[in-house]
Amino acid sequence: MVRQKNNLPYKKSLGLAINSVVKNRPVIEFKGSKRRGFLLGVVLLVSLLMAVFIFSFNSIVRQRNIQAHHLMISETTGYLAISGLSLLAEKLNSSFETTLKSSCPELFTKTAAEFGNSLHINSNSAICSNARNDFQNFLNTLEDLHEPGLLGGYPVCLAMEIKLENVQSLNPDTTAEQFQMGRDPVEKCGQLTVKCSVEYRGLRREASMTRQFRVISMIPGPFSRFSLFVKRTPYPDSYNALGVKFDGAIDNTYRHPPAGGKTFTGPLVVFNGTDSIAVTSSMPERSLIEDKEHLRSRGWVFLGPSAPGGDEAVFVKIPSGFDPSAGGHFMLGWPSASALPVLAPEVVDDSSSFAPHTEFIGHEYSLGGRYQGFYTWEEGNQYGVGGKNLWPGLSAGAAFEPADHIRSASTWLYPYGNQNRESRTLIVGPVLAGFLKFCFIRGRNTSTADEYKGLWANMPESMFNIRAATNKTLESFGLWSGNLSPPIYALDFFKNGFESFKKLMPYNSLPNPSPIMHGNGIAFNLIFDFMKYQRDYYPNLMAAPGIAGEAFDAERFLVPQAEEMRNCAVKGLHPHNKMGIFLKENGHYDPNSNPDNCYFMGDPGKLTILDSNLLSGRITHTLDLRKCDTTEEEQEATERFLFKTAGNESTGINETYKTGIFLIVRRNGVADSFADALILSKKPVKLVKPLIVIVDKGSLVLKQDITSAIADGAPATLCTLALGNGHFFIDGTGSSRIIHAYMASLSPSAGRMLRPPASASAPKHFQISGGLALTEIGLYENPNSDPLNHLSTTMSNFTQGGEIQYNPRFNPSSPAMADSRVFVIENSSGKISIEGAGT
Amino acid sequence: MNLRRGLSLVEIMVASVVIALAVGPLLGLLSSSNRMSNASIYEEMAVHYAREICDQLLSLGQRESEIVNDARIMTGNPSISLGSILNDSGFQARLEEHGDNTKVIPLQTNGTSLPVRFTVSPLNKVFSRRRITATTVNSSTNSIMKGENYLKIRVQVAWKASLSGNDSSREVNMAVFLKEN
Repeated sequence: MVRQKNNLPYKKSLGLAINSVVKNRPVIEFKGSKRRGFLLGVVLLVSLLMAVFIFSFNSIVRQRNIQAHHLMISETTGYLAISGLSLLAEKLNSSFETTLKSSCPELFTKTAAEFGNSLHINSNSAICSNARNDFQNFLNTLEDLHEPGLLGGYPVCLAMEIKLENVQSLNPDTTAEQFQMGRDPVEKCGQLTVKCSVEYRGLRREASMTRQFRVISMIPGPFSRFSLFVKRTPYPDSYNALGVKFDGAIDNTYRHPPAGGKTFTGPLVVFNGTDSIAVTSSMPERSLIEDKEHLRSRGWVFLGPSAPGGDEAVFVKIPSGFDPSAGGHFMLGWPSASALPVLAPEVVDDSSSFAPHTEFIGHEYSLGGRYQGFYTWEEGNQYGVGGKNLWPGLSAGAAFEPADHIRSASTWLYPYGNQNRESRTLIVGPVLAGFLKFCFIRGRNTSTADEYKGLWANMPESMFNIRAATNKTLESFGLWSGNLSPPIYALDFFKNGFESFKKLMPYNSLPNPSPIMHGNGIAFNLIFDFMKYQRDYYPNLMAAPGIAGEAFDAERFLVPQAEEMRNCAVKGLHPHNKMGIFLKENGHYDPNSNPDNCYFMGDPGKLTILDSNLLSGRITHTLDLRKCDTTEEEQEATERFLFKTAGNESTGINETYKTGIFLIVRRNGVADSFADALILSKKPVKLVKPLIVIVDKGSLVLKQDITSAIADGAPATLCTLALGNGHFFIDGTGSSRIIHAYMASLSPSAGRMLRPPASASAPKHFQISGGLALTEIGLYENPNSDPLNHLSTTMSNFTQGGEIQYNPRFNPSSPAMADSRVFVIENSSGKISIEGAGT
Repeated sequence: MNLRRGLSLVEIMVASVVIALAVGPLLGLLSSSNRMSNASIYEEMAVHYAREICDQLLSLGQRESEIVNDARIMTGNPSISLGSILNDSGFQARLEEHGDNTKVIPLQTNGTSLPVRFTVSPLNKVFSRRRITATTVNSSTNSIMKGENYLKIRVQVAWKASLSGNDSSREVNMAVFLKEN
C-alpha cells in the first residue's frame, strides 16, 4: 500500500512525461529548453545581482573611504588654520600692539569719527605677510604631514588678514555729565575679524575669528592728572602734625595731641615728576621754553576743601629748613649763586619807608628779609620759634601753651618735594601756605668796620611809639646789645612811623580758620609759584603768582583757570570746584565748541570710581566672585585671574600677563574691613602688561611690592588699582612698601590707606611711583567726628611718612597720552568658523 | 531521455562554472569592500579621537598660564611648562587605555593631578595609540612670532589594520600650535 501510494505519483508523472514526449513533442521540447535557461538565467541573474550589489557596496565603501580620508585632511587643515589664527590673534592681543601703533597709529590717536568705520589690513601688508611667513616656518616642521611624492610638500599658509569693522566711539556723548566723568574721545570699540587660510593636500580651509576689540586708555580717570588727589580735608589743620627742628630735621620727640600723641617721624614727600632735581647754586635757571616743557610733565596736587561742609580753606604749614648746609629755606626758589646753596635774602629797598644808609654818616647798612618755615624744637631753645619771638602773640618761657605748641607743628605733607629734590606743582584747591618771614638790618661802621645786625621783633603801636620817641635810637628795639655809633634815631629811620615799622615786623602767614573760605592767608601757589622764583627774587605777597598772569590765560593746557586764580579774593588760589583737563595744546579748550580736546571739565571733589568713565563701557574683563563663599576663595580666584607665577611657589613672583581693565565683582555682603579685604597678591608682583584693576566693593590688601621696569625715570608699565568702596591696607613685612601703580579710592564712605589693625610688623612707610587718589588723608581733630574712627586715618597709620613720585605717563595732557592707549581683544563675544577657502 | 538529462547536467555544470567564476571575485570584492569599510570607519573614528583632543588643546591654549601656574604651585617645580605637562607619561598612558566609557583624564605632572581635565571618548581595542607629543618649535628666524616659546603639538591616533584584514598599521596625524607664555 505504501509502495503503491509511493509509486503512484512516480508512474503518474512518468506517464505524463511519456505522453508529453509521444503526443506533444514540441511542447515538451519547449518546456525542457525553458527549464534549462531558467536555471542558468537564475544563476546569471543572481550573479549579476550579487555583482551589482557588491560593486555598489564597493563603490559606496570607496566613496566613504574617500570621504573619511577627505575628512581627515579637512580636519587636519582646519586645525592648522585655527592654530595660525590663534597665534595671530594672540599676537594682536599682545605684542602686535606695537606693530599696530606704528602701522596704524590713527587707531590710537583719532576718534572713531575721524578714523572711519573700518580698516582692512590685507595679506600683502607687512603685518600679515610677516605673520604668514612665520606661521609657514612652523608648518614646515610638520614632518608627519609632509605629502610624499615629487609634488608633495608641507601644509601651506596661504594668507592672513585682519579687518577692523563697525568701529564706534566708547564715549560719543558730549554732555556735561560725560566731561565730569572724564572723557577720552579716542577710546573706541569694534569688531575684529582675523583670517588664516591653509592648504594641505589640495584642500583649502579658511579659519576666521570674530572678536570684540577695544582701544582703551590705561589712564584711569581725571584724578590721574594729579600726583596726589585728596577729595576732602577733615579740618584746616589736618596736615600739620610733624615736629621739625630749626634746620629742617625731623623732631622725633614731638608728639602731636590731635593725632593721639603720636610721633610722626617722616613726611609724605611728593615728587611731581621724574626730573625732580637737587637745585644747586651753579645750576642755570630754566629758560621760558624749558620752563613750559617742564610744566607739561608736572603732576598737580589736589587738596579738597576742609570742614564737614567742604567750604573752608586748607592750611599747609611749611616746615623749617634753615641750616645753610642743608640747602636753604624749604626751597622757595633757586639758591643764590654763592658757595652755599642757600636762598639769598630778600632785599628791602623802600626809601619811601626807610632812610637809606646814605643819610647817616659813618654807616653802611641794608635791610633784608628771610622766609622761614615752622619748627617745634631747637637745641638750647626748648620753646622753638616761640623762643625766637618770631611769632606775634606767642608766649615764650615757662608758660608755653600746649595750644601754641600744637600750632607750631609743620605739615606732614610736602607737596613740593624736599630741600634736596625740589618738585614744582600746581596746587588745585583752597590751600593756604603757612610760613614765617622776618626782617633784619645788617651793617657796619665805615670808620671802625665794626659790624652790627639784628632781627626786628614785633610790637604794638604803643610800644613802638615809646621806643621811637624823641632821640630814641635803634638799640631800643632790642636788635643787639650795645650802642650804635654814630647813633641812628628811630624817628629818622622810619619815615612813616609805625606804618613803616609794620613792613619789617615778623610775618606769620598763619590764617585764622574762617567759615568764609579764602578769607586770609597766602595762596600756596603764590608762595611756591611752581618753584619758579628766580634767584634773588621774592614773590609779592599781595599779588597773584606769575602762573596766574595774563600770559597763562591762553595756556589752559598748562595752568587752567589762570584768570580765576588772578581774580580770586586770595590771589593765587586755584578754583577747586570747576576745572578742566585738556588733551591737546591747541588753545581750543571750550568743551562746547571743541569737545574732543577736553578730557575733564567739572568738579574734582565729586569724582568717584563708580561714577567715572572707568566703568562706562571700558571694562574688558570681568571676574565675578559672587558665587564664592569665603574671602579665601575670592582671593585664590583673583590671583589666578590677574597673574601668572614666575619662579617657584616660595620664592616666585606674580606677573601680569593680560592687558585690559579688569572688574572684580565681589560677593554680596563684603564690608570694607580688613577681615573682608582681598589680598591682591601673596607674591611680589612684577608688571609686564598694563592693567587697571577695579574692585567694586570691599578693601584691598597690598601685602607685597608691585614693581615695573623703569624707563625714563618712571615705571614703564602702567598699573592702576581702583576701589569702588573700600580702603587700601598696606601689609606684609619690611620697612616700606614699594608700589609702582596709581592707587585710587574715592568713595565718600571709604577711601583711605591704612595698616592692618593688629599688624605691628606692617610697613609704616610707602613708596608709590604713580600717584595716589584718596577720599582723605588728613587728621581728625576730634575722633568722635570721624565716622570711620574705628579705622583711624591714613595719616595716623603711616607715621614714618611716605613718598609719592608721579608717573607722567598717567598724565592725560601729556603728549605721550596716545601711548597709554592699548588694543585689547576681549575673550567673550567671539566666534571661530572654518570654511573652504576660495582660490 | 539521456540527452535531455545530460543537458540538465551540463546546465548545472555551466551554472556551477558561472557561479564559481562570478562568486569568487565577488566574494573577494565583498571582503575587500568590507575591509575598506572598516578602514574608513576606523579612520573616521581616529579623526574623531584626534579632533576632540585638538579642540581641547586649543581651548587649553587660552588658559595655558593658569594651568602652568597651578602646576608650579602644586608641585613646587618652577620649571614646569605646558609642554612637559602634555608629554607627561602618566597622562599619555591614561590616554591610551582602552575602555567602554567616556573618560575624564586629568592633566598631570609626575603623578600630581592638575585641576584641568581632558574628556576623551572610549578608545576602541582596534586602536593601538592615542598620543599627544608637544615639542618646542624654533622661532628664531621669525619676524613677528618670536621671542616666546611656541609649541607644536602633534596628535597621533593609530590602529592596526590587521584586525580588518590588513597587517599594516595606519594612523591619523593632526597638529596644532600653541604659544607658551
